Amino acid sequence: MSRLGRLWGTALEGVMARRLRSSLAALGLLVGVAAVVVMVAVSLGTRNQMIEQVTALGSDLITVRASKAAPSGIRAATVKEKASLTPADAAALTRLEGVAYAVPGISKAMRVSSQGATVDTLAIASLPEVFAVEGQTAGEGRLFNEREEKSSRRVAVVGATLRRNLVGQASLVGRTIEIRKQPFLVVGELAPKGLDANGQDLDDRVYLPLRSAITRVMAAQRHVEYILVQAEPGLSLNDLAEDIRRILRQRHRLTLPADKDDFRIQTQLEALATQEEYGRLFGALTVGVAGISLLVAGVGIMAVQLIGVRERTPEIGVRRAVGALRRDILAQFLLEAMILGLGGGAAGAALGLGLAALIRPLAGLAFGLPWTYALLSLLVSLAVAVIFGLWPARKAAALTPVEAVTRF
Amino acid sequence: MIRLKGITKTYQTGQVSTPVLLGVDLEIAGGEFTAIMGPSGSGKSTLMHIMGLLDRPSGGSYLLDGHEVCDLTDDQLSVLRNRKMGFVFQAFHLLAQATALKNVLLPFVYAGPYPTDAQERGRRALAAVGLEHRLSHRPGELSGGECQRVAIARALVTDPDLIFADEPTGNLDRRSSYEVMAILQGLSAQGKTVVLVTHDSHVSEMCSRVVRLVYGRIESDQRNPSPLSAAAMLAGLPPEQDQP
Ligand SMILES: Nc1ncnc2c1ncn2[C@@H]1O[C@H](COP(=O)(O)OP(=O)(O)OP(=O)(O)O)[C@@H](O)[C@H]1O
Ligand SMILES: [Mg+2]
Repeated sequence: MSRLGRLWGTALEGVMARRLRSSLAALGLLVGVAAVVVMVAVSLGTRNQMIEQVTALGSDLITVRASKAAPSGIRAATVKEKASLTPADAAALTRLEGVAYAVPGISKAMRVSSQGATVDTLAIASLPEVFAVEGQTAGEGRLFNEREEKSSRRVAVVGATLRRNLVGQASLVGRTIEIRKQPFLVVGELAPKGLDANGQDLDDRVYLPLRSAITRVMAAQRHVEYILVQAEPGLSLNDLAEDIRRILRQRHRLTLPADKDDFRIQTQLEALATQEEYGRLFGALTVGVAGISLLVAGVGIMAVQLIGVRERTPEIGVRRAVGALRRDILAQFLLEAMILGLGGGAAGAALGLGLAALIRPLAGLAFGLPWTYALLSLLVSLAVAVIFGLWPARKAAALTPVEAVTRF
Repeated sequence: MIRLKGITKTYQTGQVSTPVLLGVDLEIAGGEFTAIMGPSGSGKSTLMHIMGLLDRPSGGSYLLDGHEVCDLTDDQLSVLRNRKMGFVFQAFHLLAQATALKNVLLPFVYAGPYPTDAQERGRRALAAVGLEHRLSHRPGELSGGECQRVAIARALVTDPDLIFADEPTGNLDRRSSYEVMAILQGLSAQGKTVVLVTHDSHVSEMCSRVVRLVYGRIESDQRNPSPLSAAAMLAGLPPEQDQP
């Protein structure tokens, strides 16, 4: 058995002889590492999903939203808040070159009932093209069509979650649901999409034809909330956004340069950039949490080791008396700290990975477990243990044999 | 074996300097069983720590087997302690969490190459102090006398030339003291050099030489041609003391 091997054994015995205290010393690292691994897993998962979603929705999507215009001049009194976009605006945008679709839409929380069951859901009133733009397909039955929209037919397409909330595993296709006392015939159910990046259930929805929704359940409002503009592939979105702005300002008679837009134009790339910004913020937060918890954990290890050195001074003395070199004592206490670091780090990484695996299905997030981050935090734990264990170990090694052996 | 010349030791605590040893000349030959006596604070432990290479003198010369040790490095002193010396302390200094055998094997942790027969030697050392039946007991499960015998086994497991014992019987009852002394006398008879610090004149009568230290100087140095036999004293104890 090599000397280093014997010292490892000695250190292991030292840690095991004080199990409770050693566990407490390692607890800080455990919690810190577990928290960081979970945070990393979730943020990676959200980021993956975000990117997936944007790519699925198409990075060539532009959203125009009605917004409060800052009124100016004589029209100030006539401009109503959030009431700037109309289906006619959308029709005008459709005629713009480079626009594949321009789909007006309203989304509103609504109460839906069927056969005695009543639930709140998100109603989306739009044109049939919305399904193409959002990449929705029918899982059962069919989507509503242009003829049905034009003739204000009371038809609806439901999401899987809404259907489950209303009638469980049974099918709603061919049945009627009631929205604001108006019966709508369910013609289809969408293929499930899951959660979006913000944790919203994309299947807890009902799609209604815009015209019938406006006339029957939305108090005949003339305005829409947003217009989804799908650009034709290979087009400069910035140029298109400029064209859209020009047309809409024209239509809204915003002629003076001082007139502020009464709408907002947002591209998917901008949305992605915003999300990335949040991601970076979250990353910085993770690093902060990691830093603070590692610092606390390190100080914990240092405190426990310092107490250990003080308490075990006679032990150090007798070891020196029977021939331990200064560096043997240094190694012993440093190895003890490393065992605490490795133990706490490994337990924390395991706990973090376990929690991440547990959270995954609950949050509906699809992410790979962050093995590399777990391994990395294990190494960092080891480094923390060495850094914070060094001073106590040096203190132990600095004791002269006689100092150590005579102190009680 | 040991040759001290003009050894001085002064402790410096802040501005206060405490002279403890004021020039000690002492020669101890191989195989001698020397008791160091003297009033409390006279520097007995200090002198023993210097002889045992646990501490360095402030001045003077110390030849161990003809070699000056004052110039050696800390590592060299450690190696010498490991190879040549064994220590027994008043408070036993055993590792509380380790078994008797594990305690006895402690010097081998720091031996150059780990001896292949370490376990066997540990067992033999424990048998030599009459504890072959207590191998896996921990210090908390042993009596004071047994603890001190484990400490002696640890001191002799490496088969050192020199054994230093600072008041080894200070915490023990009469019977245990005799047992410890009988073991040390046995080691002396095997030719080992034993240096023992004691307050107990009864214990010093079992040694072949008694050095009296007073205020950091050697006041007297007497040979004892016929030391008491600890084994005989043990046999002469009334039997009721067998039951504690
Ligand atoms: N580290 C130290 N710093 C300052 N003074 C010390 C130190 N160690 C010992 N002394 C002093 O040195 C003197 C001798 O101490 P030492 O332990 O050698 O005495 P001793 O003869 O063994 O006494 P006792 O019989 O009580 O054990 C004492 O007065 C003590 O206070
Ligand atoms: Mg003393």
